[in-house]
Amino acid sequence: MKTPTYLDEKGQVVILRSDEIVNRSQSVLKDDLIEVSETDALFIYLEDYERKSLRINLTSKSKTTIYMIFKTSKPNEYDIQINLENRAQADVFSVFRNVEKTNLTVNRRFVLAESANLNIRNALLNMGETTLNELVSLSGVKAEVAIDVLNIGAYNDVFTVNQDVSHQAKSTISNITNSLISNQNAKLNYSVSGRILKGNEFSSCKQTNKGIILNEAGEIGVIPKLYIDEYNVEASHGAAIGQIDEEQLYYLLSRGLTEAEARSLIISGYTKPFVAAIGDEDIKELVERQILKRINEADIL
Amino acid sequence: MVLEIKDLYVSVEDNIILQGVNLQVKGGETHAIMGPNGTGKSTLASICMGHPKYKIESGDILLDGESILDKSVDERSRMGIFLAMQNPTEVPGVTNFDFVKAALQTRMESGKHLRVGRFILDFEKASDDLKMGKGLAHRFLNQGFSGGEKKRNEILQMKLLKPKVAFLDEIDSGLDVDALRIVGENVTKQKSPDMGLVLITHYQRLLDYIEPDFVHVMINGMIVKTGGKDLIAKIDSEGYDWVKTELGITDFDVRKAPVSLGTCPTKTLK
Repeated sequence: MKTPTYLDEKGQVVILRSDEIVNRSQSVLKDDLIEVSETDALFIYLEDYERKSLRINLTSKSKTTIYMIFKTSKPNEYDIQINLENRAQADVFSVFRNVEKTNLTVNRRFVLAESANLNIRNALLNMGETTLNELVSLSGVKAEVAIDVLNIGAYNDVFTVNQDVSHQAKSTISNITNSLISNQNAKLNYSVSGRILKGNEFSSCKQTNKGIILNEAGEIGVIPKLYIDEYNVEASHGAAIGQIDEEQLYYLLSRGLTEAEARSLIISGYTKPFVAAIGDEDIKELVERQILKRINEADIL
Repeated sequence: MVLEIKDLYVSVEDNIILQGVNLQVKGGETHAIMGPNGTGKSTLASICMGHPKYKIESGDILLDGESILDKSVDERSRMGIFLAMQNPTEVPGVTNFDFVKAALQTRMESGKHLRVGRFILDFEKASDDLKMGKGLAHRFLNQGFSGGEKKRNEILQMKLLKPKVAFLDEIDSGLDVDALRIVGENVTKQKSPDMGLVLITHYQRLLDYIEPDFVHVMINGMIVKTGGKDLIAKIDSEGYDWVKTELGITDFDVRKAPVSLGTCPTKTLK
């Protein structure tokens, strides 16, 4: 199996696959545990990794960006736990690539200690059937998580995504933004839950879900749920799902854009802010290529 | 440039909104259309732009002698028609810069590309002229804009797209005194023999900054009176009742579009 060439130039790389495990980073890899100390960017490349479970520990006060690249050619299931110790800060960017239509299940649990700060960004642009279960426990006071998902489905793809954020301490903050596009027969099913448990006042739990269905056979289902057991908190959820907005289309047409150009621009409004937030240029290019491929494959234009 | 609207009847959901509108706008002319709420002023602008909600029952709209009724919205825009909208739509995730760049690029001949450096300078100049701040290019299209910013952003697009005929639909609503002056000055600066202007407004204050050559009063889907600037002052002080009284117009003079009840079955004799 061949490792992507862009990883050759990266300073901190961990490669996990069926036939080899390579650690080219300052992080300590022992059994299924990666102890991450402060670093600019750590790339974790998982290709049909058969041990399936993985733990990542981010040490106290560390500041790190982790790029997780999942490449899957046969059905697989991962269990991954990521712990952020006190005041650890991390951006965890995940991109999922399937070389064939296959089944992939990823179960991830994030546990955030006091004042830990986590940004999760998931680019779900792969083929086949994908199940992503993400549980976030805000267990320390002032822990904060932002989840940003871009999901483009085409053909007969099925995405089942469960997001569950549990506020287990005071003054914790969560913010989820899901940007979803379905074309042809793709089905995107989201269950988005926010829980503020009793006693965890001054917490804030917000969800925004927006989706475009480009074909009558496509489906986007979002079930936003808030379980609030405390008074002095902020909580909100919203879901706006439908076809391309006719008024937006008219506005762009009225400035001379053709219908194809206008549709493309509206769709880029979903994808561009997500791409702009990717720090690594190679990963940005990889995601842009995947988006273009998905859009062309999906015959969106 | 000549825009001609000829005996135009327009309906929406079986209600006739425009009842035989006639209007001719030549390059260099500024026309103001005034009238009470719900008389079809905005409909006239929207139908010229080609909004799919409205149905043309009869009549014609010609630009430089060519009918535009069979043209799509984007074709009309590329032909030179511009509509500054009353409620500009928000398009999240699409920056002003990308949007206007795409709108200019699509006007260029096949194979030619926009000179981005020149465009950036033009955009910044237009933004400065309208006092819109430095970050405008990277803000998402109309998202989070105040009412006044949205209106100024419409004028910014007009400055950059350089249309042949521009409809400004209640561009003064939501503008404070300073913003109104800025918009008025910018629109006046853009006046040229190559562009006709149609201002749709309720108030004299916009026309203090953009001087019209013709003032039309629209009531019940018809242009019932045309005059000069003196008409504005009279409307501002006395409203429209005197026009209705003078012309014998009632408030309920709105016709329904003819509805087909189906055809009778026919039998062919052998």
